[in-house]
Amino acid sequence: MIDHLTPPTRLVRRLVAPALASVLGFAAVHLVAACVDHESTSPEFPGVIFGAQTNDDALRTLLETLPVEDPTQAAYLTSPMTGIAQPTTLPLTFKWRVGPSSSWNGRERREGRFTARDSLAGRAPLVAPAGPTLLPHAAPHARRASTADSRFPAWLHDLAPVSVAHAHGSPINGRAYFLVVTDANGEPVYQVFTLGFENVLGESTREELALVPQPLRASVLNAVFDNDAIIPGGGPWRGPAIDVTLTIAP
Amino acid sequence: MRDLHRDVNGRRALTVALAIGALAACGGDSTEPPPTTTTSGGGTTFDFGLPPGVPKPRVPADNPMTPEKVELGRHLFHDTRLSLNETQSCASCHLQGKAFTDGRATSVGSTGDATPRGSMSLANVGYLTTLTWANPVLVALEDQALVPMFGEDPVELGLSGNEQTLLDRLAADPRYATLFAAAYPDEAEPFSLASVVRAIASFERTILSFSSPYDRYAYGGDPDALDASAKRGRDLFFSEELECFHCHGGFNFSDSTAHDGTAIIETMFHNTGLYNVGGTGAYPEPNTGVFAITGLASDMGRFRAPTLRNVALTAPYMHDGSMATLDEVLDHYAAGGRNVASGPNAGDGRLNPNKSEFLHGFALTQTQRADVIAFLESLTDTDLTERKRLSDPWTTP
Amino acid sequence: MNGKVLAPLLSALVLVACGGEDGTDTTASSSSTGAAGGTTAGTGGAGGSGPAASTSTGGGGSEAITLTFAAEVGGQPFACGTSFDGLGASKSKAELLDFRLYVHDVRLLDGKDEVPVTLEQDGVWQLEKLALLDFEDKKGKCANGTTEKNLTVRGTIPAGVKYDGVRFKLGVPFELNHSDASTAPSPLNLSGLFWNWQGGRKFLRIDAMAEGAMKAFNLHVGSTGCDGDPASGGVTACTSPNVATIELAGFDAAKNTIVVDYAAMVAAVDFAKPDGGGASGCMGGKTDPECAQIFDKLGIDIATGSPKVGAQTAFKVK
Repeated sequence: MIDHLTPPTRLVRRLVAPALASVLGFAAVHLVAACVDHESTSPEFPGVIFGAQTNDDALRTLLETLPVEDPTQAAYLTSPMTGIAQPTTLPLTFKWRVGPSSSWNGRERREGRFTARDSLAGRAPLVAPAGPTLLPHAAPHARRASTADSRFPAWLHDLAPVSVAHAHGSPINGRAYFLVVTDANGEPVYQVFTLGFENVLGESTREELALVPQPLRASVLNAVFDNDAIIPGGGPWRGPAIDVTLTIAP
Repeated sequence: MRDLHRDVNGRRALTVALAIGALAACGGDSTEPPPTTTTSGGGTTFDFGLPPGVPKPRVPADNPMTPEKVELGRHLFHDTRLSLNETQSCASCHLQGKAFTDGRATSVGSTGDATPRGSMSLANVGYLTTLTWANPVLVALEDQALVPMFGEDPVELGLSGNEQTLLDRLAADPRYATLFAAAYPDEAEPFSLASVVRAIASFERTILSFSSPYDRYAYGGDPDALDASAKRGRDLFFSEELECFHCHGGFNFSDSTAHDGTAIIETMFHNTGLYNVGGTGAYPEPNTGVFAITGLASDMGRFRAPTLRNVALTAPYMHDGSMATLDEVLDHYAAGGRNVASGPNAGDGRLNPNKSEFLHGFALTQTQRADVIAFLESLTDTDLTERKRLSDPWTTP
Repeated sequence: MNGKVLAPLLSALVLVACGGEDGTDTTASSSSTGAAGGTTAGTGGAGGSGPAASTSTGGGGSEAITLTFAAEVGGQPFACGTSFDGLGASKSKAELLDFRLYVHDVRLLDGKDEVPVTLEQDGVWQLEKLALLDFEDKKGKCANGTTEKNLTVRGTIPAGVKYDGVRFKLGVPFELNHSDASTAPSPLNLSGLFWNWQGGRKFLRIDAMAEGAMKAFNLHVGSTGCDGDPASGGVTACTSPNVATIELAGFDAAKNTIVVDYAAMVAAVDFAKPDGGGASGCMGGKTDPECAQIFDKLGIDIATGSPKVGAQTAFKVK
């Protein structure tokens, strides 16, 4: 993912991050990744990489809203293949898309009757089509990350802009995706909030991630935003998880 | 205001999410969905066929949506008997193939009167907070329909004083006997002016456009729906450098948008520095914007931001059709306004005292300009222009 | 006029017709038998001596009264299809295409005392405190009009009231004015009087085609500067109500007619010159020079839309 318009207030973080990487350990993983991937971070969500045209207001909204299970609207990881094990020397890119049955994409539907759900009929869901149910609150991942002062020294907070840089930037309009990678214990180790459909992990990131308990488990939470607010009926929807094992090359 | 919006919307989103869970849980089987309207818990719901995450248009309590009313409205919308001399229908100035505009700088009424402004797209018109180019009074489609029907300055459909002629005409057509009876089963006299405008408004609320390539990419989650140029154009469009999104933001690319979940509805009008006649800030008569309604000097030249959906189909641009191409429009915004060098409207619009603060100009490379235009073209929804349910039922039943 | 209007109209005619020669004018005189200055006698009559007495409470202390209006053009009786000379500063000749106006809040005056006239609810011309006066009959160039005319305001007042003046407002009360045009009852359902661009009604409509002119000189007065509420779908307020208050002394409903004269309204207009701006004629525009000339004669402050009581010259007692 290439972001052209990273807000200037993020630049400080990008500059300090590499220098700090060697001493900050776990937390620095994300900052290194942020640098490599030309993305930005937020003091409120220190473990999260923000892609272009995203902001922490919208992410907060996403995490504070109860997800709805709807396989037709979930984002599916199409890369890497689940269960794969590979050395950190090989490239690793997460790619995803919303199921092809999303009725945004069903043109023929509109020639028929007024039926919102008929485009979904007859298509094989990618996960078991249980009736849509409310899932537990999504916030814990982020809450842990955002309050992880023990892992993220206060003085680093001080280095960063305190104000929420994106709050007065461009609002999100459209679907936004929150990629969450956890370790084998469910601890988030890599998180990206983006409008795009892929995320490339740099080699140093891969090396850091190989050090946490394997396998890694990745999934994407997504929602449809309108000026940073989730549109009624616009999710969030949680996608199914895949497993990846990163190995350190001998 | 921003915080207030977010708080309110946040709460609402949660409520709606809960409601969706509850509703959808009842329909988890694989059979065909129920009929297009269902009555539940004190309200009738109509299925607009919207993609997930697209809110419904607001519907007045006294004009609930029904498929029968929509179908009647479709017939009326496309019927030239709605003009006194039977030469024009609503569709005469709102052609489906042009995203319900007419391709003219300004339109021509049934008796030859020129309208001062261009025909606006009706795509997603059901979401607008105010209707027409600049009128804070027209807030309901039912009321707006009366303007072209009965307006006299200019004459459009020319029905002023002749509402009974219209109703007699309609009542004489057996096809309408069936359609009106179906649409208004509880009315002793279904042929009324209210029946006509309510059906037309109901039809208009189904003129929905959410199937463009951009929709498939940005809302549908299809990474392959846009090419790289349009994707770059999207980033430019939503950037603080271009500022487009302030007035053309949101899912409908217009800040005059509200939906059935909107808690606080705002009416928005903007002066984009198109004119500054004689340096006085004036816009040429009679197109003075909201000023024509309110008489307030600060409203001079303020117009509603139209949706940019299907904008590649709706040339020429601006309220008076004074720009022929999207390139010209970009020139205008890049310059932060338009300097009219000579003629009766001479004056530097860039210096208009009412000009929106977001028009500070910008510079685009040739590639960037092509990217923005590629993005705007990705908003073209051929489903809208070809959808049978919106087409003329008198020629394509 | 649409069917919904016609049916009640017919019954109303039966009720109040009391000598109208052509059966369409609802002209009538007050049943007052009092002396000059207008003292009603409490006979319980309404609309003259006709059967409308049944709508009055009769001996309960109220009394029927009919106020008769006449439309003139420079002292000549108005009629569709007739041309009138000497109009405006240019002394132009013109044919009128319409002549209708709404009045409401009719009160009889006696010094500082005033008595509201309770209008008969006839289902056609009168609704609540509002009445439509209609002097055109759709003939000639009055094509946007209706064949029926209405030249009176009919109602009741307490018996024995003394009065020597009358006051009424030219226009439609705010709530009624901004009612849903597609569903409103008569007389608010006449599309020729719709004023949809401001969400209301034309209070006064008199259109003229001057000799040699290419376009009609329209005179449409209504509230302007209105604002809508997208949430409720209604009109919330109008900065310029443009409702004139007409106050006339020396009035006795039994003897007098209230004359409204178009020539007086347009006395300052130069029909020979091109339109000075805004709509052709006056459609209520605050900056329209013709409106300034006409509002002055109607007793409306064009800057504020407020009435200037006593300033009007368009209405008089005859």
